[in-house]
This record gives sequence, C-alpha cells and structure tokens, in this order.
Amino acid sequence: MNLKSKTDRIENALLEQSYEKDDHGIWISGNRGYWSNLTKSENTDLLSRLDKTNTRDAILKTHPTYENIIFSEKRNAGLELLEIQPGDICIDYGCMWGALTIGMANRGGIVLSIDQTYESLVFLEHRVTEMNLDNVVIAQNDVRRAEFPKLADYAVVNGVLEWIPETGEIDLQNYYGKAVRRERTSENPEKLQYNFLKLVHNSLKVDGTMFLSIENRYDYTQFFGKKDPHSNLLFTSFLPRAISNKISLAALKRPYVNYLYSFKALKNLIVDVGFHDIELYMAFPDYRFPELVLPYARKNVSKYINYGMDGYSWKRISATLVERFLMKKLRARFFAPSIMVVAKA
Amino acid sequence: MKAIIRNCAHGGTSVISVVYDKKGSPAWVAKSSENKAGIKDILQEHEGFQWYANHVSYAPQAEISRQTENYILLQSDYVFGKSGKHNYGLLRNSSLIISAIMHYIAVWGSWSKNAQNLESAPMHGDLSVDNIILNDKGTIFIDWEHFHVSALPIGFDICYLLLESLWYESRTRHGHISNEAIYFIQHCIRLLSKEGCLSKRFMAKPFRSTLDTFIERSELWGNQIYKFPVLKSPIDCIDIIDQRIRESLCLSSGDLIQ
Repeated sequence: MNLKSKTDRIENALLEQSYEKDDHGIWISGNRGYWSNLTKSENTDLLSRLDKTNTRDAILKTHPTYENIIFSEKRNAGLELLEIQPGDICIDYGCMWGALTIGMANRGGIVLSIDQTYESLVFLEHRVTEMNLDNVVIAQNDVRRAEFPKLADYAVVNGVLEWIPETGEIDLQNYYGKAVRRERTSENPEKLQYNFLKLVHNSLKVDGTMFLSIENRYDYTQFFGKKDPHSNLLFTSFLPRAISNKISLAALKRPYVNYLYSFKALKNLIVDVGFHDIELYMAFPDYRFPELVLPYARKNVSKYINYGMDGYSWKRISATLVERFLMKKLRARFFAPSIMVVAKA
Repeated sequence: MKAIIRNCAHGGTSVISVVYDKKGSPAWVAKSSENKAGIKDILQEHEGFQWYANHVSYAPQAEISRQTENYILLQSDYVFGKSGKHNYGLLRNSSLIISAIMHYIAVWGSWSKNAQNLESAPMHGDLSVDNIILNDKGTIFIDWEHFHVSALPIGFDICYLLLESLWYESRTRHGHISNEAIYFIQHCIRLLSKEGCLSKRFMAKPFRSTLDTFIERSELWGNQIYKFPVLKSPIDCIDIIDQRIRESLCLSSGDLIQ
C-alpha cells in the first residue's frame, strides 16, 4: 500500500466519524478543548506571525525558552525503542506542537496527530508544511474520544496519561500551581486513565505497539523537594492519593487527579487493559529530554553510566550525585525519574 | 530490548543505542539521526566502517538498516573486549596504546604501500583510548564518525591519541609530566616513523603540529570539534615537550628520524 493510499485510509477513518477538513487542512471533530503552555492570546499572537515567518523564528521571537521543547531532536530519542518502518501508520495522541509527530514522520511513518487544542495544531500544520512532510494528517479532538479501531501500527502517548483525568480548559500559566476550582468527576482518575488506554489499545492492529512515557510516581527528586510537575505541590505525586487530594483541595481548590504510577503499578494497569509483551524502561534525567534509557530489569541498573548535566547549579549537582549513588551503589531502579513503556496490543 | 546510551551529546545530532539479543547480551550498536548534518556524519561513519573492513578481516560489520530523506539508522556489530580509560592517562594505558600503534601500522602501512600521497591519508578522527578495543581477535578501532578517506597526513590519529592521553596524564598529576611519559612518547614516535607511518609534518613537532592541524582543518569535525579536551585547555608546555622529544631523537628542524 503506497503513501497516498495509507493517508487516504486515515482520512476515510476521519470521514466515517464525521470529521470535517478546514482551510488549514486540519480535520475538525467539533469537540474543542484547550491545553497549552501558552495563553489563548499568546497563541493568537504566535499564529499571526506564521504568515510572515517560519515556526522556529516565530518561537524565538515570542517564546525562546520553548525552542528546545518544540524543535530539539533530543525529544525523539524514545522512538528508537520502536521499529517504525516507512509506511507504518502511527497515531500521536496529544501531539501538541508535534515533537514526536515529526520524529515518526521523519522515520517514514504515516502519522495521525490528534490534539484537542486547535491553536497547537495550526502551528504543527505550519511545521509540517515547512518540512515538506506529506505523511502527516492532523486532527482536532479530545483524545479521550478519538477512536480509530484497528487502524494503527503504533500509538504514542507521550506525557499525556497523567492529564487524562483533568477537565475543562487548561492554560498552564494560569492553572499550574494556581488555585483554580474544579469539581471532581464522577469517575475515579485511574478508571479514566484505564478507559483511555483501552481506547488506545483498540486503535492498534493486532500486535501493534504502544509507546508511553510518564513521570515515575516515586521519582527520587520528588523526595528531595522537587515539586510535583503537574500540581506544583510538594510530595503529592507519591503520598497516598487521599492525602494528596486533601492537599490539592486545600492549596489549589481542586481534587488531585494527575495520577502517576510506579513501574509495577503502571505495568499492572497496562496488562489489565489487554496489552502484552510489555517492556519497561527507566529514563534519565526525564522522558522529555532523555540522556540515558535503560531496560527496567534488575541487572540493567548496573549499566547506568554518568551522563552530562544540564547546567551546574548546586541543585543540579546535588541531584546528579544522589542519582548516581541510588543507581550505581544501591541499584534502586524503582526511584528512576521517568518511565517509558513499549507494549503490544 | 534496547538501551539508549547517548542522545545528541557533545553538540552532535545522533542517538546511540545498544540492542540486546534474546539472552540479554549486547548484539549491535545502533546510531540514528533526524538531522541533515547528523545523517551526513552517519553516512561518513558507514564509509569508515567499510574502509576499515576492507583492511581488517575481523573488523565489525556495519550497515545502513533504514534511511529516509530525514532519518538514518546505522547498525554495527557490538565489539566485546577491553578498552582504555581516559583517567588512566598515558602510562596506565601504555600497553593499549602500543597495541593501537601496531594496529595502525598494520592497517595504514598496508594502505600506504599503494598510496600516492601520504599527506592525504585516511583519518579515523577520534582515536581515543575508549575507541580502541582489545579482544581475542586483536586490536579493533571503533566509532568511525569522523572518518575521512583522504584527509590528513599519515600518523595524525596516533599523534592525537598520544596528545590526548598526555593531556589526561597531566590532569591526574596536577600538570606534571614525568620523564617516563616523555620516554614512552619518544618510543611511540620512533615506532611509527620506522614503519613509514608518520608524516614529516609530525616528526619535528608532533603535538604542536597536531593541534595546528585541528585548527587548520576544523571543518573535518564540524561542531563536534569542541568536544576534544586538548582544544578546550591545551597543555601549557606543549612546545617544551615537542622539543624534548626532538632532542632525544637527535632531531633538528627538518631532519628525518633514522
């Protein structure tokens, strides 16, 4: 099956679910949402510049600190755990600005990139055009409702699972660590995450592969004062969830829903969903910009090697020394900062 | 299963992974890049592996297993054995360095028999102690990322190996370089020269010439030139060391070693 027929197959799947293509070439579901590091006005300003300049220059002019998050090839290293071949259909759930979409497209995958935030997708569409990639289809939908039965060879869930139980629009600058009242949903967050993973499982062909990355609930840095990366509160990632919930309600006026997992608990969740042949990996210093990724088996902690530090603040140096001690001396793999998972449907 | 051991390090644009077999033993090394410059570097590395395999029967095999317009994946055999350690400096790595020199003589010596111009010899480009492996097959050079088939005068790689090892030696000894280290370097230079594997350019001032070559031909290493420690903080007494080597070998400027 050639490239056109595979992109046609994806577009037919979108048409069957009543998506409509807009002037930007983005397939719209009608289920709008918002999750972004930028405010809506910042996004509007950013997009307005794209008629006159390219995406990288627009980011350098407006939000230079995001250049690496969006464009760095380091972000795609986790894709090396997969065997994406030219022509494989890949779904990027929660693609945002397209870091992993571009990585999969570069490998020859036919990529369906889904995100609820239209503004992010317009930016991604510009990136794809600049790079002359004709193997990316962009769709706007709430990923919890984006069902594509048995379509894909690969499904990527990169830094998304922990946000699944959130409701409402999220503009991180005015949400992260801020008291923004939200009501708890009737469903348990873990159940919501289970349902989402079930949807991902169903989107894969038989023996299709899911790649998932997430912070470790017991990331050692959380014990040393690094704040929960989703709530900006101390200790909430690893405390019993009932206690984290009380802390969150008191500090942020909303329940604690950004559930993280230990290696074992995450594996159990994924097994319950129906995945098999599960490979767990430890990612250092985190899954976003991994310098070292090791299989989770006990003997593999011995393969831990020193890697370059990003900056030389006393905090970074201390964290590095603690990490080296934990991994090299104590072989305490369960405290690794982030988890990557490769699993078969 | 794989382990990702390096991700765009030293200003590079490639990801290096180790691929394990079903028993959990390393089977291959995989190197990939999505960057145009990185793709070019990996193609160059493949060329290096092929050149080396044409000259060494037990050289590791490498193949481009996947390539698109924006991505490349090179897989090469994982080489078991013992490599050197930078922090051992020069003298503690001496037997490895001698093995490397003998191997260099065997490979480049064989090349030089049919070569027309020894001033434009093939170059490994990063012959550090951790890129030299000793095993039951012999000595093996790995990591051919900076290979060029026709680049620099013969002997550059060994001069660099000695210079970098000396740099680490001086760091471990708080800047002090022993007479023993100087004698060892003399011995190495003499070995190379005797076998016709050292260009005249490096005979008179081995280390100053090596540093000058780096600077004059920096385009051969691109952005990654900044990873080489000898360039970040050169040894202070490099010219004195060159002079001692020259004096001990009874050389004046322009003379050949007999």
